Amino acid sequence: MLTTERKLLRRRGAKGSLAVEFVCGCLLASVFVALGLHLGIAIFGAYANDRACRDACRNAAQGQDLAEATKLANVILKSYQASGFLSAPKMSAPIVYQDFAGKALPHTSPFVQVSTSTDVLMPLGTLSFFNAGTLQDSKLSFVKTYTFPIVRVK
Amino acid sequence: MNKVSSSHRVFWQRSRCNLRSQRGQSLLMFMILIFLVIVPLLSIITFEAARLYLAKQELQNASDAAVLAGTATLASSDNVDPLQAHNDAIAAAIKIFKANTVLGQALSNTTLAASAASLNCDLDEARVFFEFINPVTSKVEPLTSPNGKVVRVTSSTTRNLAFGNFVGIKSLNVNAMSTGAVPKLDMVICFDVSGSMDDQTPVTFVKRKWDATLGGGKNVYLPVTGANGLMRGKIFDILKPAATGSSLNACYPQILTEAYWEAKCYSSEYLAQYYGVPGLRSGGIYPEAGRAPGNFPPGTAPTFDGMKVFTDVVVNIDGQPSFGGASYGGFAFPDVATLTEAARGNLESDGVYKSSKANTAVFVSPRAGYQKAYFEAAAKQLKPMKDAQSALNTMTQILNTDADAHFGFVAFDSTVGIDANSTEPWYDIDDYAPYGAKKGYPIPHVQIDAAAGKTAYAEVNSAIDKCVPMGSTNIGGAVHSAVEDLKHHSRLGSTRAIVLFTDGEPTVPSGPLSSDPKANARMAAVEARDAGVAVYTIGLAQNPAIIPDQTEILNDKNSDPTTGGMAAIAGHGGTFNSVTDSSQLRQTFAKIARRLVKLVSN
Repeated sequence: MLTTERKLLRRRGAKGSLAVEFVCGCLLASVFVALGLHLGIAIFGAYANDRACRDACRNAAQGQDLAEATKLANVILKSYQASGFLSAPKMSAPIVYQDFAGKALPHTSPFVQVSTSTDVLMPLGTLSFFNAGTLQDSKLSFVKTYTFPIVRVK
Repeated sequence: MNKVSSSHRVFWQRSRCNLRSQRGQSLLMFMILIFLVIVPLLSIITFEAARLYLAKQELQNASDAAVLAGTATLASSDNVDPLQAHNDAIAAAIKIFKANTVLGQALSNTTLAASAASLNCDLDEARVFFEFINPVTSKVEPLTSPNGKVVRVTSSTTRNLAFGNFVGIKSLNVNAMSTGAVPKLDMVICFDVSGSMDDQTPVTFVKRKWDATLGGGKNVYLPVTGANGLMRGKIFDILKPAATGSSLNACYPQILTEAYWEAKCYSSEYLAQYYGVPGLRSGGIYPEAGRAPGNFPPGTAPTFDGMKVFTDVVVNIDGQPSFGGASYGGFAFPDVATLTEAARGNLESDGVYKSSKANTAVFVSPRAGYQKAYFEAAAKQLKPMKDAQSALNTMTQILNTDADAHFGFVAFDSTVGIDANSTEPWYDIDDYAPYGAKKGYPIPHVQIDAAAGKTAYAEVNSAIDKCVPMGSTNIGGAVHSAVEDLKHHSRLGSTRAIVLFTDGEPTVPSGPLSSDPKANARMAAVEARDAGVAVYTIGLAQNPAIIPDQTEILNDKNSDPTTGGMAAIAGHGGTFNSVTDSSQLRQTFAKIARRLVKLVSN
C-alpha cells in the first residue's frame, strides 16, 4: 500500500509538471520568437529600402539630365544585392527630374525624385499579423520616395 | 515502532510532493510572466525604438535635402540683397523638405518655427527652423546680414507609435539637424580681354577730310564702303573676320590697320606712312585736338580718293547699327560728325573747335568734358566686353555675399600681367603703322591671398572694370598663372577653382608650357588637375563657326591630355559652358556659383 502510493506520487510529480512547463514554454517561446523575427526582419527591410532610396536619390541628383540621373540611380541600386530575406531594391516609379530647363525661380530649387521598393520575404508567412494584403506570398513590400535638390545644374 | 515510523515517512513524502508541486507552479507562473509580459513588452519597445530611429533617419535625410537646396539657392541667387537671398533660400529649402516623407507620411504639413524653442508640434505635423551662420565667427547672423553664409536647419516631427495604445504613449517627437555651406572657396578668374571682346559693338567708319568745294570749304564726314559693304554696324558684321574675331577695336587701342585684313579698307595713316606723306587725320601731328584735316589747306596731304580709306572709327553710342543721335551726361551727340570731333577732343573749347574746322550740327556747343562723355558713353556699348564684365561682377558679388570666398584675377590677351597695376603698351590709334600716343593699357593680375579676411573682392571687381579689349588669346599662359597662384597662395583645406572666360580659342604661341597654343592650354589644364584645381570654362561664341573649335579645347567630356578639353582634363568637377549670347553670361556664372555648393557637415 505504501509502496504503491509512493510510486504514484513520484510519477505525477516528475511527468505532469515537467510536461506542462515544457509544452507551455515551447509554445509561448515559439510564438514570440516567430513574432520577434518577423518584426526584426520588417524593420531591417524598411531600413535597407530607406538607405537604398536615399543613396539612389542623392546620386541621381548629380545627373545633368533625366537619362544620366536614371543611370546614376540604377548604379547605386545595383550595388545593393539581394540577400537572405531581402530582395534587391528596385525603382518603383520613373524618376522625376525637374530642372526647370535651367530657369528655376529664385525661391525654387531644381529637384529629382526617386522611388524604390524592396520586398521582404517573411520566414513564417502564415503569421499574418498585420493584414493579409501586405503579406501575400509571405512578402512585405516597402516603398520609399526621396526628393533631393539638383545642385550641379548644367 | 514500525507503525509510527511508517506513518511519519508517508507524511514526510506527502509534504515533499506538495512542495515540488508548488515549486513547479511558481516556475510555470514565472515562465508565463516572461513570455506573456516581459518578452512582448521588450519586443514592442525594441520595435518602437527601431521604428523611431528609422523616422529620425528619414527626417535627417529630409533635412539634408532641405539644407542642400537652401545652400544651393543661396549661393546661386541672382540677387545681391542678403534679406531676399536668405528668404529665397528658406522658401526653396521648405519646398524640398515638404516633398519628403517620414514613416510613409508626407511632410507637407510643415511650418516655419520662429525659434529653436518652438519646434514642438502636434501629431503628423513638422516644424523647421533656419539659421544663417557666419563661417568666420560661428555666430548666428540676422537675415539682413551678408555674412550669414552657412545654413543650419533644425527640424522636428511627431509620429504615432505602432503599439502606442497598448503602452499608454501614443506619439513621440523626433528631431534632426543639418548644416550646409558653400565650401571655403578660393577662386581665380581668368578673363580674356583680347581684341575680339568688342566685336559686337556698333560703330561707324568715317572718312574725315576737308572739302574745298563746299561753300568756301568745310570738313566732311563721309561714309566708308569696304569689301563687305557700307562700314557701319557691329564690328563683326562689318569686317566678317575669321571665327576667332577681329583685333580692331571700337575704343583705344584701336589698331585700325586690322580693317585691311578683313575688309580691304585702309587706315589713312597706314597709307600715309607707307607712301611717306602727311596723314589725312591731322597731317601726322598728334594729339589731334584743334587740328584740321591733313588736306587743309588743300594739297597738303593726299585724300586717297578712289581707294577704300577711312580716318576714324567711332562708336554708335545709341547702340544702333546706324547712328541716329544721342545725348550722354548732358552732352548732345546729334550726328556722326559730333562723335568724330568729340573723340578727337575738338569739342573741348571754342578755340580747338574753330581751329579743327569741325563741322558739327549747329546746336552743338563746345565745352570741356565732351571727349570724356563720348568715351564713357562708348565704353558702355563695348560688347561682349561690357556684358562679360557685368556678369563677372555679379558672380563675384553673389559669391562674396553667399560664400566664404577669396578671389584672384588674371586678365589675359597674348600675355599675362604681373600685378594689379600691370599694363601693356599700345598706340592709341594704330600699332601696325604706329600712330597716336603710346600708353600702358591695363592687364591686371590680382593674386589670391590666403590671409584671413583678405578676400580681394574689391580689388578684383576694380580690375574687372578697368579691362579693355586688346591683343590676342593666350589661354595656357593665363591658366598656368592662375594654377601657380592657387598652389602657393590659397587657404589650407579650401576648394580651389579657376573660372576661365574666353570668346575665342588659344591663338598665341607664346608659352610658357608649349609653343603650340592648344598644347599650351592643355598642359596648363594638366597642371590644374595635378594641383587639385577644377577649371570651369565659359566659351562665348559670337560666331557659330567658332563653336566646334571652342568645344574641342574647352569641353568637359574628353580628358585626354593631348586632345581633350580643358575642363575635362583638369577634372575635379569642372564644366564647360557654351554661351552664344552675352546676355546669357549672368545666368551661366550664377550656375557655376551653384555648382560649387556642397553639404559640409551634419
